[in-house]
Amino acid sequence: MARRARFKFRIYVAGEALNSVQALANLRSICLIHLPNRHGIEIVDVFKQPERALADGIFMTPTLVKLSPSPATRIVGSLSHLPTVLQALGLEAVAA
Amino acid sequence: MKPSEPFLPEDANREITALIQLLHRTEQRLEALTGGEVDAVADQDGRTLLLQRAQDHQRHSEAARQAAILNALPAHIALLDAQGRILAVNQAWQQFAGANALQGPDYAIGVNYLEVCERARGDDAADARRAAAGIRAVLDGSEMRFSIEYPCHSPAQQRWFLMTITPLTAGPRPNGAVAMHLNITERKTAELALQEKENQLSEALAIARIGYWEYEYSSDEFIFNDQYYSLHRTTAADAGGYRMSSADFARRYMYAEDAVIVGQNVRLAFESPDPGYSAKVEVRVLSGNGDIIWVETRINTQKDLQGNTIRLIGVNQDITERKRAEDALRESESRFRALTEMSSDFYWQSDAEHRLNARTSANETPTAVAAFARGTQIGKRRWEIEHLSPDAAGWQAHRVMLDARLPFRDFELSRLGADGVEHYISVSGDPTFSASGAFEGYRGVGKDITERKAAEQRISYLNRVYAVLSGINTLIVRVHDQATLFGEACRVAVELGGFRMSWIGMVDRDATKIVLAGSAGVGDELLSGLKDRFSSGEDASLGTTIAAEVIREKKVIVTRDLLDNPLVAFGKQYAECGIGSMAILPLLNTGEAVGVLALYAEESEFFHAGELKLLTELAGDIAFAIENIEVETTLAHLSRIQAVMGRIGRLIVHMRDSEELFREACVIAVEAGGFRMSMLCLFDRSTTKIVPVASAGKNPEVLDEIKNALSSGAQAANTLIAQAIRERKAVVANRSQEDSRIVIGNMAYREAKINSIAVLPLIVADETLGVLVLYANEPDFFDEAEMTLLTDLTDDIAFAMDNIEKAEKLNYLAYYDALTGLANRTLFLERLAQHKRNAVRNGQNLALFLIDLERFRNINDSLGRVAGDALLCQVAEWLTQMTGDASLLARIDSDHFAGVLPEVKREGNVARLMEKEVKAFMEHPFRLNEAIFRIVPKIGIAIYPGDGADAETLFRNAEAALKKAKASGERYLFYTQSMMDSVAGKLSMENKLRLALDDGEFVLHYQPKVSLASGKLMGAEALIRWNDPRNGLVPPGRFIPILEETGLIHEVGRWALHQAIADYLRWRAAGLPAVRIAVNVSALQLRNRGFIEEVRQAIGVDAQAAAGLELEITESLIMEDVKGTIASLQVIRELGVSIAVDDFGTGFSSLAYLAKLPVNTLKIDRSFVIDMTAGPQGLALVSTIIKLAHSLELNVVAEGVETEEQSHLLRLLACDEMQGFLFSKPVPRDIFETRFLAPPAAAAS
Repeated sequence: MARRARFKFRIYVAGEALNSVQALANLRSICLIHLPNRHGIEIVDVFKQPERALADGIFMTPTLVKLSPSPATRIVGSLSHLPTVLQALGLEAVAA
Repeated sequence: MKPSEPFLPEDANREITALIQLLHRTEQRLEALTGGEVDAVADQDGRTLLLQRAQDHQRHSEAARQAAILNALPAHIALLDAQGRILAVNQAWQQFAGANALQGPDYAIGVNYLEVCERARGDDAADARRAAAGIRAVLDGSEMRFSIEYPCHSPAQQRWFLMTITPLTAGPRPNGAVAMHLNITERKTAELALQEKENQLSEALAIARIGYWEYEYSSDEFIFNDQYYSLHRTTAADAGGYRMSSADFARRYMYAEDAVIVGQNVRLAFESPDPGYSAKVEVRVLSGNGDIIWVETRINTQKDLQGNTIRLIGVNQDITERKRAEDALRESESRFRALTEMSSDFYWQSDAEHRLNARTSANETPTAVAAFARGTQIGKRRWEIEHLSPDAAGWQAHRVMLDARLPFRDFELSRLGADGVEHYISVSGDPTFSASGAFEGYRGVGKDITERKAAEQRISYLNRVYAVLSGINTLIVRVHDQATLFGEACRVAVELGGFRMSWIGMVDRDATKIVLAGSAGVGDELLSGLKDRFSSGEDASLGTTIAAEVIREKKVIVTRDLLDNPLVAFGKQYAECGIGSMAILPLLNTGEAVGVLALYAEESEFFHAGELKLLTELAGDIAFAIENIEVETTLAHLSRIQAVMGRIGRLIVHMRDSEELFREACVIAVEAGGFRMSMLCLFDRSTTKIVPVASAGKNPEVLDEIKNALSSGAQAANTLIAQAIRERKAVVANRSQEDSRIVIGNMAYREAKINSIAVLPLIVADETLGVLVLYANEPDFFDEAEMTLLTDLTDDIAFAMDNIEKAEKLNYLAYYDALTGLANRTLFLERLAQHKRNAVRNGQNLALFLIDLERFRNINDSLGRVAGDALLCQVAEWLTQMTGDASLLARIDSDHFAGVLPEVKREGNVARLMEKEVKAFMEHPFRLNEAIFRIVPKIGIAIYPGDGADAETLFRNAEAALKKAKASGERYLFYTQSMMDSVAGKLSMENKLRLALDDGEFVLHYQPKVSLASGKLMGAEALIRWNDPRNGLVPPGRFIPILEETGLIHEVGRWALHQAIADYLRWRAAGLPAVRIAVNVSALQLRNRGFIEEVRQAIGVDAQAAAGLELEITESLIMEDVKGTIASLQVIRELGVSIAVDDFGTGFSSLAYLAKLPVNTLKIDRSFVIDMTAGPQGLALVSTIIKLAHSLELNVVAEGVETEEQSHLLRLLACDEMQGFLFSKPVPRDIFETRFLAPPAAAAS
């Protein structure tokens, strides 16, 4: 059932830069509230794995990629504007 | 860039500047573009460029991190310049300097640390000066590093510090130094403790019974110390010195069973190449006198330079005590295990990760064990073990408790058993911690509660059905038309019973189809589907539905396989609605199935025998109501006509004027019969005209119109009236608005909403004198039953008309006594005959009494006839006053009077009336010739129908009774002796009771009511007893009915009220813990208008009195007149008196009324308490009553509690109080006081 789908995220960060730290914190809190027990987060530090970011076509950090459920979505920024983020992740409809 | 081009530094500089600027602008642009949300951008090659803001952040956080590290260090760190001044300090230093009394508060930045140390005074001066020298040495480069340990005791604690000074820069003369103080108190303390310990060791060896031994490989012998020998309960002297050969040792001290273990350990120690080898083994050895001693042996080795073991060194410690304790522990463990296995509990434990690591299987049902054992459960986290409930959220909540390491109780979960049934277990657990306080896991017990759950569920199912039953019973009382009944019954089933859907279908008149008569919870689509299905049967049978089967078989059918049963047409829809099972019950009316009640439950296992039994009862109730409503409608019509007959019957007896009779008959028809209009017409045979002579009704203009039409004559001969006169038969138009026979007044009828008309001929001696016309609003009003009654009525009227006609012709004197004006014997007998007709109709008795005046002849003879006549007139007057109606009386001859009581309900009433009136008569002062005379009457009584079927026989028998009375000493006699006897018995009892009240022979006994929870005394019920000095204590059943019958209950009730209040106030005044006293109130008392005032007066004696009084009213009494009772109780409660409903459950229980009753307490009747232990239904009923009462915030008292089991169950059901022989029977006041109210000390004395 769609309601039970597991969310897989990959977030690209620039070390411990401010926006990156915020983006990660925001992502974690979104997952805790809206997707408890059904999410996975992979963190890619572009300083440590620049070739991976390049391969994935990531040119700005922080960038959040929702890998599943499809369609894959990209969001750039600190993920501070919650409504926009929820909408982009398709979570608003579920809550309603 | 081309390498060949010459390198121009200036250009390059400019280019670089430009590039930097570009870069800068780009960054700013990027910052602006990304709204500050982005940290880094990468170029095509994947090189990452950190934007300005992120860089700043990085730098900031780096500096912050370093400061944090410095601050996080526990050491006190200060940066000194070359002169020894403090440049900077970390947080630890600041805190230390701030808190340290020894060093003072002024060690802040800028102070010269060198000087401080050099100036130090007191105990620490020497250490401080050494420190100063060290710092100086480091600062001038002569030492690379300096450190010193020094004590620095605070008042609360012994402390040691290690100060380390390191130069800030390497070189001959550093430009500063780092001073670091490290608190080494712990290490220092440990060192000191170690020293101390070593000193104590040898002492400890002795105290701890540790024996020392060595084994020399070269000589194959042991060397022991004194402690070793004492461990073996012997001495070196007894053993023959400190050395012993190994063979000798083995023979003397080795325990044979453990010799192998010792041998193995010795070999292992010798063979081990590890120089630090150490082993520990627990073995048994023998004491000098052969006792077994447990020792713990620690073995170390000593090796030579080649690594060969040359010697074993060991210590032995006596651990016999510990072993014994361990054995005891093991013993208790195995006992515990046995215990858990015997009970239905099992034991479980889990590790710190909540992985199950032990679980006993106990006595669970085999299937429940199978539920657990599916797969290997040991090693799994508790929530990973396969289960059906709780859900994730339930576990989450549970895990919050686990994470907090809290103990938990009765956590319920369920698993699927091998039998496919859900098994419930309840688990409790406590966290376990190691000695050092580390969390180790949980352990606890669990219990298979499947059966309990099932029982709970069963009770909840039954309760649901009970709720429906009670709801529908209320409905039946309230609802008076079938459509509402069906709809509401279904609604009650859905709303109160939690059924998903419900419908009622009725068999139509031809018994060929089922018609849906009401439903609730059924969706529109399904509803029309059902309708179609029921109406689709082509043949004459009911069809092939389950409902049809139920009607044919007259038996309930329960269906669970809704999807597979071919008879179930809408299985799929049912499944979608979440329906698991359905029951279709026949509605049986006198053995015929008139319809079905269908109930759909969510649970597939809802309908068990218990539920079905109740539901069958329910179906019976509904069927009863269906019939009842039909009958009620008929009865309502009939009773209206009967009311008319009753009044007209009474009218006829004394009516002497035809016109008045006609007028009154019409008025009564409208007033008592509820007819819209009525009219009486006479038929003038000479002119063949119909003459309206009287009428009554709400539409006089309509009547006028009809009268006009009749007198004008044009249509008169064609009217229904004319037809009735012609045919001498009643004519009825039950749908008058559509009836073509109606030729006059059609419009007027329509306006007056008249739908039924009956024209009834008045026939005397085969001749029609006239007609009575009745107009009703209801269509179809006049059916067969009504017409029979109405024909009777018109017969009566005709009889009266005939009589009046005759009477008018006869002399007045022929009917009346000229002296007294009362009726004479002839008229009285006629009236008696008419009264008898009325009595037959109303199913009542009638009493005829004849009165003889004793000594009348003497008065006549001695005082003269004038005086005698005067006396007769006075007697007639007195009798008229007494009866209130002269038409009931007659003077039949000289000194004989007669009277009739037309409506006698009970013969006892007649006797009582006679008793009273005879007494009054005898006390009445008759005045004759200025003197007062007392006259004694003798009375003979005959009762219809027992003493005669007609007026003449009755009269004769009354005369016979009178004759007998005159001959005997009795003032009055009934014709039938047995009646006389029973009346006499009652009357003597009544007299005795009256005397008992006067002589204070009534007493109150008190039965305590106690709290089920605490056992505390909560109140008392006052019970009246008659302490008859002749017969002893008389049980209440023997005298209370007589009190009620005689009306004495008012006085005795009043006495009880006052007595209870007096007792209560006396207890209070005596300082006893007085409790509220409940006094029973009878129906007669409550209905007495003065009762409220009586209560008000009774409690008026003291401001505290109201708080001590409770009135108990029986449920049946309340139900007799709910509205009136509520009003009275309301007023009483406002006085502060509390109210209890007695014998709850025995009356016609309408639980719905309870909510409206202003009561405080509900007393469950003893019969329910008895039934409670007889089966689950009895228990469920009591449980329901208690829950219901609690939901209405009523206190619940159980009556008649006689066994511990009952009391135990009631406590479980949360019943508040109990009363009964189990605790105490009703006891006299004195005993109640000493046993229940007096303080313990007083009670003991």
